[in-house]
Amino acid sequence: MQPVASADLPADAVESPARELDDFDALVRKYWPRVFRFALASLRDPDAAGSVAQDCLMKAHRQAAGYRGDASVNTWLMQIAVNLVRDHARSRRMQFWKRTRESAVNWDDVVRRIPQAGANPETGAAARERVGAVWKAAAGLPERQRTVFLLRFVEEMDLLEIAAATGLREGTVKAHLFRALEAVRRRVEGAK
Amino acid sequence: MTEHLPAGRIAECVGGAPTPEAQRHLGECAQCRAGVARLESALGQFREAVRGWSDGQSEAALERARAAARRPGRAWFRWPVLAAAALALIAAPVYKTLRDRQRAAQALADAQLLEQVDREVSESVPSPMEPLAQLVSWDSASQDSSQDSSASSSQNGEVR
Repeated sequence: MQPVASADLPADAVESPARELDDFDALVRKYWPRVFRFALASLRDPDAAGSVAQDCLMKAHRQAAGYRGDASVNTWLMQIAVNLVRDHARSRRMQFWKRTRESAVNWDDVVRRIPQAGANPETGAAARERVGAVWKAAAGLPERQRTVFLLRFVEEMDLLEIAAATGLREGTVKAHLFRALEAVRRRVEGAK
Repeated sequence: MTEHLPAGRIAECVGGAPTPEAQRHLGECAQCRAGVARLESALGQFREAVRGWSDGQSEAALERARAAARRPGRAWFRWPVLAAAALALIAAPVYKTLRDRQRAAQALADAQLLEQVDREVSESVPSPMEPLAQLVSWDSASQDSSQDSSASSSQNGEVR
């Protein structure tokens, strides 16, 4: 299943969003990869990400009547996902599992997805180091900065879409993004 | 050549909001350009790594969710669960009414039983011995009445 990016969403997703929300199977087929990816990047736990993606799509489907069409279905889903990820990360149970499972995330599994990692040993090692630096920096970011950072650089949403998904003003989104980028830059330069 | 871009300006350039001065500087300064390129490259590789990782997990996670939905009690894909919930909402008031009636009947029965127990406890002798007790009471009643009559006669100064 290919990830869904806002740029490559089919035209009918924009033309008939309410109908799209009514068809639950179609909603899952089209949006599961993206919602799951954002949840996975945020929580770093496949089980928790699956649970969030599931809840997100169910909620969107149940509340289809409340969808006003102010934003695209994609942005609306990401808004629900952002709230669910936040609630999930704040729950006490999650805090417990976070501590015990932090080390369970298979870093090798992430690293072997780096495009240049297998090209030649030298560039591969450098790429792994750079991605590792971003990975660690992102983990250390405050919640809002991390959310904005992931929506911008993993989901490739623009600032206005991020503002709609997070409920923040565009200027606040920029401020969070630049702080996050500065933290990431420092880590990447340190890993150079 | 002016001074290099401060760290915050490089983040702004990568974040998509460079100032005109920063843009001008990047056009002239290879070192700052390289700094921006390094960060952009790291972010691009991070995106690819996360997307690849997620693609590898996504299908399995969806299958787990679907399998969980097929198990009783976790049917998030199934309308019958919602139908059952709706039925429960309708049935709840009916059940409550029936339960209230049962409770009322039970309370009445309890009250009657207690009343009967009170009655039996207040009796001076057990019911099987009641005929005997009546005999005793008749006898004592006749004695009492004779004593009463002699007492009243002596009070009146009568001599037998």
